[in-house]
Amino acid sequence: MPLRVWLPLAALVLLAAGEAGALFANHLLPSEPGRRSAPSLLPRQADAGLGGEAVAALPGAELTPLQVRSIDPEREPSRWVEAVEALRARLDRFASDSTSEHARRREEGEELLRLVDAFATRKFYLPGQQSQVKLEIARQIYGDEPELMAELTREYETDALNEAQRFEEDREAELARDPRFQAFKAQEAALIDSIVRSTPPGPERDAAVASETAALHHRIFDDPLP
Amino acid sequence: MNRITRRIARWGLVAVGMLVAPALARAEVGDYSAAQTAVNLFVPPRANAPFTAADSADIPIQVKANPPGFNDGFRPGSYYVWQQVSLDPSTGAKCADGSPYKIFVNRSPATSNVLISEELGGACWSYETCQSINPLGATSLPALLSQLGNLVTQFLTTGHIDGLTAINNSVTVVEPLVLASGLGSTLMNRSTLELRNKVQAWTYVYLPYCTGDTLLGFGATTYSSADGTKTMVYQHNGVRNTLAALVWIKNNLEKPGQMLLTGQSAGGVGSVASYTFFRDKLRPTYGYLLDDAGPAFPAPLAASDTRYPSIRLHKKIAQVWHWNEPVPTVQGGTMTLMQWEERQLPGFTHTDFGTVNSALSRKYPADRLAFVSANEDFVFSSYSYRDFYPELADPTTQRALTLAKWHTDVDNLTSALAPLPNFHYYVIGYRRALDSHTLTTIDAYNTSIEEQGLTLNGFIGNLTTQGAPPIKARERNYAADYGRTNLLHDVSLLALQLAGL
Repeated sequence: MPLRVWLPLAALVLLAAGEAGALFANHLLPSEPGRRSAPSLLPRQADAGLGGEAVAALPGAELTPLQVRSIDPEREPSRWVEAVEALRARLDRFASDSTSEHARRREEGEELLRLVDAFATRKFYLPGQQSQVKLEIARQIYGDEPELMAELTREYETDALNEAQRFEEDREAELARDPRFQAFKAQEAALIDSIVRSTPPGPERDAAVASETAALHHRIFDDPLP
Repeated sequence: MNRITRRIARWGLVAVGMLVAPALARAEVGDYSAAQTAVNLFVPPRANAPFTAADSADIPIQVKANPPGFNDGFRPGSYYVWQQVSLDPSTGAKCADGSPYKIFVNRSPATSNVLISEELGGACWSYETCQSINPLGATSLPALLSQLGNLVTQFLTTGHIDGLTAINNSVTVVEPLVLASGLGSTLMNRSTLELRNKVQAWTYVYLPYCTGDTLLGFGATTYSSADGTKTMVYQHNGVRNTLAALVWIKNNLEKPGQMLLTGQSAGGVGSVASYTFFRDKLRPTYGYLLDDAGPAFPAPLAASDTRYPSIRLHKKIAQVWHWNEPVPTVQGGTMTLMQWEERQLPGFTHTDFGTVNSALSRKYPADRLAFVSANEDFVFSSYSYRDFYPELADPTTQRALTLAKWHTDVDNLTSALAPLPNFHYYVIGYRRALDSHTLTTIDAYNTSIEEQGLTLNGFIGNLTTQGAPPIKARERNYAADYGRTNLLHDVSLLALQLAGL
């Protein structure tokens, strides 16, 4: 059979098999106005909420937290993207599912909490950002237990703040190791001190301090002068 | 057999056309096909519209890309992970203390569309306010950590946490707490449950804020302490940082089909002011602006500050952030930042910063622009008036008087936006998180306008949908908002307090 016959037939079969839907993922809640599609990342990936229906993820697309932690996003981009899509699909189903019995929903939510932690180890979130997601999930499954929710809020926020602190400490450590920045700060302090000592206070002195500091920065970093 | 196969082929083509055509019609501008996405995983798209001399022709100051061989840390084939990208100081980018500036990128293989967010973090215009930058990172973060346990106990006992509603002391900046604690944009998160919008599937570019100038500073300022014994230089370098980031985006990412520029608080102000630069240089097919709680209030400088309460603030920042200071241009002659903005945005005048809204609306009539905020925002209002109106020093009347001025300014802004066909607004009543400051941070709890059946998620979905009618909504009856809280919102109030707000 000639190619011109096979091609459309193959396309037809693919589309009928669900590829058309998979091509166009949706990233809005079913109830939101303006639901438009975006391409799914993987042709065989579950397509969360397309057209309002939650499509079951294919077995194997959903990874365990341990499996997620084992992925190197750079070396295994397909696997990583597939894992992200599966997480999104799973979250979509979780968000729109109000019919499951309580225990099952809680079980799914707790697995999602573990998954979010696993994704966080792969820089899927900004520092601390996963706490926000975990609180959203926790509210869905523990909303009727205020004491537990309060405790989880404390725990997640503590995690987030600790991450913020580590981020800040890392930044400070990096600057401490930056010889150009250290040289700039040392010379800047001496420069300001010198001008302040030798010039009476006023707008002229302020302008001189600012312009001399800019010139110093330019000499050390080669940035454009104002 | 041939006849049969020809018929099958013909009907196959028809069927394919019927299936594909509507599907394609539904595809988002800027999204890649599944096949292209698969290719992108292994051959990342290259920058197809890099920054050229033509791009810099209308920029009065020197803009430079990272020098050849400079390792910015960007890995084009890393998708759905946050990457910290360094901008070499030779680009002109630097933080207030002269340290190198970095941005964050989280790339999608499935779309060229980009969500750019400018970070929040207060602002400063004096030695005292600028000196206390970084309060949480330096000192208050451990305090907040140590108090969380007590907070939980109190919350469980009383249902709320006492003593957190008043913002005391002088206003200052809270910049470094942004990257954590949920204070970064909730839109820049691919796995939230409460906000689910198409833009969350796009490539993200996060522009940190470290210059105390709502990303609108145009020079270094010398500040001295009140007693004259201490002097510091503060690099209000926001404009150059934004330009350096823009150059990096053009040189490293593909031309976007769609672009949403957003920002919270200080970043919101920055997003309104810098929209024209991103829009003109990135040239997306569709452009969107979402200014979250960073209002460019109408403030004609010659008018009465009773009528326009933000006038005093605008006069101050214009001075210390060098808005009207002529600088030598690369084209020859001199130009001020505001003259440059006026040239880019017909209808904008430096004598009324608020004209930026209508000027944007007119210049980009097909773009969809939006301002979101709250009637009771006690943070931006404190920044706007506290240092400039002595009568606000009395703690017994401070909150009421501050918010009265805020209400006047919000009235002015919504009145100005009302006739603009493509400028949407969404102003809720009260939300305990950050004392009603910003809607796209922390979480999406209590961000609805119940009386009109609107949700923040729906509003953003509508904003980013071509052809959807504009929403201009301001909540009027919101007594019930005060009864809605969660522990996270209370923690955010404690953070404000510890930050000296």
